Amino acid sequence: MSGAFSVKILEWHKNTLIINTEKSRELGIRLKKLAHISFGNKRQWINLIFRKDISPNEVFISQDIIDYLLMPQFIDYEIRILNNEIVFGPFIGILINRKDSNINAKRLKLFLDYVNSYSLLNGAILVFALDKINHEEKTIEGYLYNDRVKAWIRGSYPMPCSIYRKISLSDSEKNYLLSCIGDRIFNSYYFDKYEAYNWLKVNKEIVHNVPYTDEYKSFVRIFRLMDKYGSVYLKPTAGRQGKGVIKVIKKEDKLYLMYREKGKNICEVLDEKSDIDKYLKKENYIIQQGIDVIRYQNRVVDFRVIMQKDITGEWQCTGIIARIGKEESVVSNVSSGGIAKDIDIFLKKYLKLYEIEIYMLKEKIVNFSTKVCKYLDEIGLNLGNLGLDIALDKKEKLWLIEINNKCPAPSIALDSDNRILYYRALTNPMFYAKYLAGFGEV
Amino acid sequence: MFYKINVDSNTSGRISISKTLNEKNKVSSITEEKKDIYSISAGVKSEIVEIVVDENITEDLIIISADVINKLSIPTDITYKVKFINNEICLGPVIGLLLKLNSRKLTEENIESYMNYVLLYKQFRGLLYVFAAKDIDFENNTVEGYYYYETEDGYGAMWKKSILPLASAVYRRIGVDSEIRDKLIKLTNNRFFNSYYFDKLEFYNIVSSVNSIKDNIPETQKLKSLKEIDDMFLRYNSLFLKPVNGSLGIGQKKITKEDGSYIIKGKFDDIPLKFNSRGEIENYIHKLAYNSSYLVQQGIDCVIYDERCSAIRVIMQKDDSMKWKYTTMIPYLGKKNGISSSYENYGYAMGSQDFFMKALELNSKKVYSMKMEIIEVCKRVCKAMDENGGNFGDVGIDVIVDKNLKIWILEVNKRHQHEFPLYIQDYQSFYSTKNNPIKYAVALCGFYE
Repeated sequence: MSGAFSVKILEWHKNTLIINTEKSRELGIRLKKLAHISFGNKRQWINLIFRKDISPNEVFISQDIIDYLLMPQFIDYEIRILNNEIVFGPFIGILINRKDSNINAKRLKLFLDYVNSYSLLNGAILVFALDKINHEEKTIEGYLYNDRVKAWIRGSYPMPCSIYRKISLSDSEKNYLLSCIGDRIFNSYYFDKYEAYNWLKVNKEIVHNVPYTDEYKSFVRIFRLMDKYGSVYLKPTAGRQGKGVIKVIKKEDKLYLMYREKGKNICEVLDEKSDIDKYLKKENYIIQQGIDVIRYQNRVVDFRVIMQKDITGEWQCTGIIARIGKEESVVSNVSSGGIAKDIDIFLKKYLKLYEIEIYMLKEKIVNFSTKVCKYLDEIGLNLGNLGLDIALDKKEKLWLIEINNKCPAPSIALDSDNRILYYRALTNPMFYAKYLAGFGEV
Repeated sequence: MFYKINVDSNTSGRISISKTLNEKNKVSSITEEKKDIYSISAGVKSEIVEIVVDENITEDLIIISADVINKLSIPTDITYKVKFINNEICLGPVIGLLLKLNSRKLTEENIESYMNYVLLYKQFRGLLYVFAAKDIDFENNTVEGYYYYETEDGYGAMWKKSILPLASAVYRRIGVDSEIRDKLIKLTNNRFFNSYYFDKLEFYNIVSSVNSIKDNIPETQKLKSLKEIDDMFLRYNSLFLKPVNGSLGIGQKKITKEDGSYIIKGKFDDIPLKFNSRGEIENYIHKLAYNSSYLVQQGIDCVIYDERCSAIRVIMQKDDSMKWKYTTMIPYLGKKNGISSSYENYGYAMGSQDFFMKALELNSKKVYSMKMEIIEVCKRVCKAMDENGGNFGDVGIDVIVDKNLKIWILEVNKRHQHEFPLYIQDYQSFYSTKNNPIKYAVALCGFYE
């Protein structure tokens, strides 16, 4: 698409950049003789020359600069003037593994989907592993996307300006990256259910839509909460995909535990002498208020709301998918046997809502989800890709069940048969990364 | 928080607020000795008032003297949001929907259909009304219109007729004369959208010099004589003649050349006209250009599907973020073997997924990229309009994807049909289309959180 530049080698010169005169006016650098250019974390002083006879989409840079900046010529560059610097980019890193040896051709091929809209992204997209960061040189040995051949080219490159991370990082690793590129890595902090609850409970506008959550310490807590809420959930604090979730209910003065194991739904009586700990794994659990959620044919229903930031750095709802749990299952996750449906289809065909009701419910869900995301921004997290699990109770009140923040999988869109939503959910974070790299839009 | 208004006939020029509201907004020096000058505003109307803090009233109540209420001309049976800006208490949002020229057209029957605009009323409340251009009283800055009212339980809803203050933001869906338009722009401080109904030539002048989109704009010239046509035939195989101010494809003609003869086919013609002599064609063009304003435009080879020309209506709107957002896109096909895609009763609309996969033969990955590109080009067009001046927030852009999958912008409709998504039974997009401009209007008033 227009607006991108190719970089050509400038012969017989050193420390020089030549750009089309009209372009220099557009960029606002017409009066400059001297400037510094940057690519990722590499910077150099250069002399500027403007010429009318070169193509407006080409920039000539002397070899010494290209070598120092490690600038590949197969990239379609955009140029931004940021703080008196001529920035070539956007330079986006995708941190996919701790070890480079785990990255094979098959995996790399999957990442081609992330650069599906390269003509709108432009710039350098670098897939890399943590162990290939060269701390002395401050370079990375990774795979840079070449749109001309639609392939990843291995090489040594500068550090990127923003990182979309898909792995956990220790505190020291996070601090190291912070020192190198600043607060431009997202999602910056992975939080669990209990942390989330502690943050949300102080927000008056949100707290009433969040189920009461506490650390599970002992059996006694179950009784206290059962009295107040009627049913209670025990969930691994750092759990995912509905694994290990136990629902506790009361029926005719007896307590029952309901959970899934090996693809089956189990319901067992719990008496005082039972050791509940035998049902729990060796990890931290939270205990959470049970919500009487709406059901479809007696199956649990909730909504996965995909919230992502766009090229302007603002939250948008990419899509909402309804999840219907397997019969008698306590969870709705697809990985636990549930099914997924596009929300429009689910509300119309399954719950038989009118189109107006569907529209208004969706607006209500998006409004609430946006409020939650903006609040998390205020706390100081740098987030760009979240999956909010929202349930509706029988009085049509919204409940925030969970905030999936460790790279929530867009594959749920495929589960609901919506390929376009899948590609959107997969590529949106790249545009937020472009924004973080200094190439956003207003 | 939404505030109720109680009217006090015993006082004059006074507002009473609760202690909590006072503390929240640090309304200062409310003492007997020294009182700051305050004003209260609703829409473009504002009155100087005295503020009193009343410890006995609830947090969500504001008591206003009857004379102030009369001067502001606001209904008191609805609730409002309140903003304190320096020494001004703003009640709002106050939004006007300019939907008709004459109030005769705002009948009891019509008005029910306007309910589609208020689906999200509960989110922002305040004064939202529908009005006609002839009912604006520029001397008093008031309007006689119908404001939206909901009962407390939320089940009853109606439009109530009243004299209301001229709104802070006006969303218009009709053409008005330039005098009224300019007055509204001035009074609302440019919160009047869509502000200018530029014609096709003006549009071309706006976008043809913008580097990021000029390659997506078909070359267009004012038709004065055969000279412009011959000039353009040097570059293009086919041309379109279009009325500068036309819509729905009326008066459009496709012109091609064959062995020196000119062939012209109108939108509704089954048989084209053939002009063999230069004199004949010169006459024809001269008559056309003389009778109305015409332009000549580069012809685009649109993708043909089901023997019809195809185009896509892309609805772009601003929402509460005050940024352009993509609402929906609906491909449509024209008359069989016709010259264009504008279809009226002759053609039909299609779902976008269907169209891209069948007509453009793209797989789902490419469908996604194509959609993204179309949205990007449309966003750039919208930004170019913004940069040109005025206030735009709700447009329907006609896009053609040619046989080389290149994207062309044909036209930007400023009064586009909101019902377009209904042609493919897409109710969700229809409701979004109706309500996004309302969100934008609320944000323009400054009342979106």
